[in-house]
Amino acid sequence: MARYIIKRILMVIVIMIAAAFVIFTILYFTPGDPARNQLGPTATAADVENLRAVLGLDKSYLAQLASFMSDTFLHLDLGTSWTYNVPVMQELLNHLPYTVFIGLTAMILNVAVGLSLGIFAATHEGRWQDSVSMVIAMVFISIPDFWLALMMIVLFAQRLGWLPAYGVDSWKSFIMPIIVMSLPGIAVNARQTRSSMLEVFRADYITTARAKGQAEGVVVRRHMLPNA
Amino acid sequence: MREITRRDFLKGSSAGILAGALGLTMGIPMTANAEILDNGRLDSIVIGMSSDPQEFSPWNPNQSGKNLVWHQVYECLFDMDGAEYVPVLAKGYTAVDETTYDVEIYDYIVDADGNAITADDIIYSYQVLIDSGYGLKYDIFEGIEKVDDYTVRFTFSTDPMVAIGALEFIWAGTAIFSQTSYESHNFATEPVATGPYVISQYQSGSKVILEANDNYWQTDDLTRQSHKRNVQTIEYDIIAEAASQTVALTTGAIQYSDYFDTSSLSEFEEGGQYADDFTVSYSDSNMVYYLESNCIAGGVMDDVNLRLAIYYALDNTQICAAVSGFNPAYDLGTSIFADYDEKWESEENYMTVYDLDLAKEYLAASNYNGETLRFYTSSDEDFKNMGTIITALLGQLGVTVSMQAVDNSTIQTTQYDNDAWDLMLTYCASGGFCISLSQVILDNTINDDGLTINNVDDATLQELYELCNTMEGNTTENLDALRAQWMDNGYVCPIGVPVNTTIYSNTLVEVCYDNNLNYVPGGSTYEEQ
Repeated sequence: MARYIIKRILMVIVIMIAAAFVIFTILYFTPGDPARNQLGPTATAADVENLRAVLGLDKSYLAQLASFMSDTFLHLDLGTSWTYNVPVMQELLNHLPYTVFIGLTAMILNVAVGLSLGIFAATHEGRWQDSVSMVIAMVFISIPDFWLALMMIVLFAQRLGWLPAYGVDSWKSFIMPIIVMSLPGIAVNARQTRSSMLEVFRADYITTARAKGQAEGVVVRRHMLPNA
Repeated sequence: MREITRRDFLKGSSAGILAGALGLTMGIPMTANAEILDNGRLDSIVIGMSSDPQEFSPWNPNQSGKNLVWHQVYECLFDMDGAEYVPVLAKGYTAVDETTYDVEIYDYIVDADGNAITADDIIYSYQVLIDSGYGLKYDIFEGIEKVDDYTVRFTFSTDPMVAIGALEFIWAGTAIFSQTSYESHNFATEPVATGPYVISQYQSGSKVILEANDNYWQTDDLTRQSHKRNVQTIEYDIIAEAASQTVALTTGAIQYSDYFDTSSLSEFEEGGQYADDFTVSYSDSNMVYYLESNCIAGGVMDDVNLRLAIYYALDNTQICAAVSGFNPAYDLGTSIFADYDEKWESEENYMTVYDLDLAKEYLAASNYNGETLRFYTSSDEDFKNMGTIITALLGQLGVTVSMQAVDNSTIQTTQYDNDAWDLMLTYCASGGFCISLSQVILDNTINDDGLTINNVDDATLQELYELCNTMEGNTTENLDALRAQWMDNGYVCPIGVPVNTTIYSNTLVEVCYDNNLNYVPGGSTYEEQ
């Protein structure tokens, strides 16, 4: 097991190096001059050349690649952002808490609501509860998230004034983004859970458990769900 | 007693949770009420900002969000007012000779941390900018040295007072700050300077909050309007979408916006739903959208008849009306510039006249053989719409174009690739003078190949440009001659001037703008609501 983990970690490192190389090369050959972009149209050719020298853009491709790879992988230095003029790592860490919070909360909702909806649909297979659940899932998966986000802003921020339209001032700022992010995941989870549950629904061991007198809830939680 | 089932419990608790949520969230006021404090300042104002400043270093590159904040936190030796250098940190300047000028500063200037500003700090500030690589238009700057504790001497390669705005960046665009403060703070995130405001909070992607600088060194009688502190707290909310800024205005979350959904404009204008609470203001901007031809020798557009054919086939008035939010352009400048002449609006030329028959005559006289012209424009909505209309109009003429809508970075790079394009729709902006805006298009010294940005090789054009770019030479007669030169040769066709439309709450009585048309909250005046 330990050998397997070490092997996978080494593979990750190799993949990261390869990805860094590919991305650097693509960005290097992409049209556009970062120095001119920063200075704007009023800059003279001399201004642009000056900034290119300061940013190291006047060096050859190989020199820039070597510098980038050695800084990143040997010194773990992602450098200073040309846009933010602060260390890249610092800028990443500034935004990470919000990303983690929203992503994690959306994931928890995906699982909690998606699983529940899928189980509910599976245990009421063929009845109106199943149909309604799957229609809800289909609607969630069909709605474009950018449209939903705008509509929620119009309804909850503009019309009702319940939630802020932007910013991260308070916990209310996270409600709409989390909902928008989680809906497609809920739909996918619900459909997959229903499908998997139905596969084990008529299994012999399920029939046996019911025959032994186990409550339906116990059958679902302890026998169907883990095997689904 | 009836047994409460699980279903009953779930139903009841759901209803309870919903009621609780509604109770918590309803009725919470979203509108900020303006209040004038005892010191005469407005307590706070919230402004919509369309792009994140990203950082607050002393250099001022091409970034609109940072521009709004930079001028309130940093100060320079001078401000630009038209073509005049108005003293700010400096008391004034004295010519030692044609290329040497002494500048003396006040001896009581301190920054927000209380550090005094001396000649050594001025020299340090210039060195930091030069070392950063972001020094713009420093080509005439040769050096700076200390004369005494509060006087520095500038040396230039040519007389800087001849050309209009030659010192725009050197004197009025270089931030001055204390070396002590710079070495003890990370100015990218927490600058400490001499300006009327300090940054108290910055959340990337969310907001920037400025507080009035309690250590501000300027005395009330000397303070220029744009350096006043008429607001205690200025909050810029970073809202990248126009529709969201409109929502923020209607909910009262922001009180000023110049980037909003134009389809909602009528709701704020007279008779609209929000007209009682807001004022809508219109003015020409300092920007011109223009169509340029790649006049590289031997290229398909190296043909004056073809160029004129194309320009006479464009109806600027209709293009601007179709795109909306634009006024037709009559020059490489706008009506807000000091050297703009209103008589240009009634002159007959390809900017004011749409004549398809004349265009066809020029086309017949040209060497055009049906080639498909490579037409580049930005992928921004306005550019794309204009480009589409231009393509259609040229199709009526019988000229085939292939339009490429690309991002702004690619546009800037493509412009410098002589073989990549034939026509380009782009824009330029400047402050103060038409001739300043024209520099990007007409001046062949900007590039190192002796040609203008669209590869024009015209010595007469350059002579006329350089003449108009001097204080003495910037006369109506000379400007007319310059216009005639680029119009007769069809080097460029100005299309439209974006209209600056701003919406602000009625708390704002009089709006103060700086030389670059940025709203200055501290310099504006307010009344309590």
